[in-house]
Amino acid sequence: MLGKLLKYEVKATGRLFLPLYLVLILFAAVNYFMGFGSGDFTLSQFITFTLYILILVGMFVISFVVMIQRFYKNLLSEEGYLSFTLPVEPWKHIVCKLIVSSMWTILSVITAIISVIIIAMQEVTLGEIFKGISNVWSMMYQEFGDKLYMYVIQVVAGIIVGLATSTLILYAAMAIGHLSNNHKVLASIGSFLGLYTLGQIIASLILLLPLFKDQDTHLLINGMKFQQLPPGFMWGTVALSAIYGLVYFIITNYILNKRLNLE
Amino acid sequence: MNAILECNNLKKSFGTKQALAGIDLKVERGRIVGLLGPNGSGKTTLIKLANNLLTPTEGSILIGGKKPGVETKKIVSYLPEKTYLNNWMRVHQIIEFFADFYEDFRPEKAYDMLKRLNIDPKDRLKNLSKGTKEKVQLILVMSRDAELYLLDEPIGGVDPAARDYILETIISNYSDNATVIISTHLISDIEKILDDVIFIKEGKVILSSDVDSIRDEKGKSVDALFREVFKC
Repeated sequence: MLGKLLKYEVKATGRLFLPLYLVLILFAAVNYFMGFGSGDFTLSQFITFTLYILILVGMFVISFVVMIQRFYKNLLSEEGYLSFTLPVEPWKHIVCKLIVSSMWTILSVITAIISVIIIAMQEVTLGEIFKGISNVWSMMYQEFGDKLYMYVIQVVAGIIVGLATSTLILYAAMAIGHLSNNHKVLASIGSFLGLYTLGQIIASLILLLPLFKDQDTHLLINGMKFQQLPPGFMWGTVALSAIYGLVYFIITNYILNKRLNLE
Repeated sequence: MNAILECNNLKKSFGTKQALAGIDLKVERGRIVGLLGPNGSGKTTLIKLANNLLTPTEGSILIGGKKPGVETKKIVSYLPEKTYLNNWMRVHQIIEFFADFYEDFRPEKAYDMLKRLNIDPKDRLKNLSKGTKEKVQLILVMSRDAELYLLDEPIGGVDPAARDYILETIISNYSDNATVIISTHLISDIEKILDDVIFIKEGKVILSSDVDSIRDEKGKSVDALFREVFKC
C-alpha cells in the first residue's frame, strides 16, 4: 500500500514540479544563448537573468510550501476523510509524504546545480568545470587524507537526516496545532517554535557539555579547527538529529492514530 | 453470523463536552438502517468512531467483531458529510484511485452510474458543482461491494430528482448480506426504504426498532414518530 500511496503522492506533486524544472532549465538556456557574463551587460540580459533568479528562488519557496500544504490539506483538512478511510496505517501516510517531499527538495537542488552549470558554460567548458571540481577534491584530500571519504559520508548522512528531521518537525507542529479547536494555524506555528526551542536547548546541553569538560574553554570560544573536534562529534550530531526526527515522527503518528479530529 | 456493528457503553467527549453518552447498539447484517436524530445529537460522531476517524473515550465499537482499523476499512464504505475530493484529479482518475486502494471496488458500476447521472468522467473534480461532487462521492461509495455502508447525510445537498435515483441506487447496489446505515434528518424521503430505525438524542440511543413494528404497534409513520419524540 505504501507503493500506491507514493504513486499518487508523486502524481499530485509532480504536475507542479516537473514543469517548474523545465522552465528553470529553459531560462538557464536562454541566459546561456543571450551570452550572459560575456562582458557587456545589456538590458535584455539583465531581465532574463533576473527572471532566472526569481524562478530559482521561487522553486525552493514552492518546495517548502508544497511540503506543508500536502500534509495539511491531504491529511488534516477535508481530504483527510478520504486519506484516513483508505485501508492504510496512518504511519504510511507520514512516511509517504516525507519521502516524496524530500525527493523533490533533492531534485530541486540538482536542477538548480544543472541550471547554474548551463549558464556557467558561457564562460568555461564543461571539461573545465569537472577539472575544477577534481582540483578541489585533491586539495581537500591533501588536507584530510583518507579521512576525507568518511567526512563526505558524514556530510551526506547529515544532509539526508537533517532534511528528514526538519520536515518531520513541521509535520509534528501541524499535528499538534490540529489539536486546537479554534486556532489551528496559530497553534501550529506556536508548536513549531516550542519544539524548535526545546530541541535547541537539549542539543546545546548534550553537544556542548562534553566539550567544556574535555577541552579548554578558550578553544570553544576562540573557535576550533574541524579536526580538533572530539572523535565521533559529527556522528553524534547526525545521531542526535535522527533521534529528534524519530521523536517528531512518534508525536505525529500518535496524534494521527489516537487524537485525530477532522473538522 | 455476528453483528456487523456493535457498540458497548460507547462514550466520546471533546474536552468537557460529551458527544456520546454511553451507546449500546447492535446492528445486524442485511439491513437498511436509518440513524435519525436532530442536529448535534451525535450521529456524525458515531459514524466517525466506526471509521476510526475518532477514538472512543470509553467503551468499545466493533465492526464485524473487530476494532476499527485497516481490516475494518476494507469492508466499510463511508460517505462523509464533507466533500473530500481533491482538486487535481479528473473523475476517471478518482475512480482509478478507488480501484487501486479498495479490492471490492467495481469501476464498471461507477461508470454506469456516472452515465445515468450525466457526469463526464473526463471532467476535473474542481470544476464540478457542489451537488455533482456529492453525487460523485456517493457513486464512489456505492460502487464498492462493502459489508457495511455508512452514509452520513447522503441526500442533503442534491435535488429531489437525483435524490430518488440515489435512493434507488442505494437499495439496488448492496448485496443481501450487507448493511446500510443512513444518517439523516430528512426522514420522509428515506422512510420507505428503511428496515430499522435508531433514534439518537443528546448522545444516547432512545429507540432502536424495526420500521414495521413502529407502524403496527404505534400506528404511526417513522416521520410522525420522530416529530413526536423530538418535539421542541
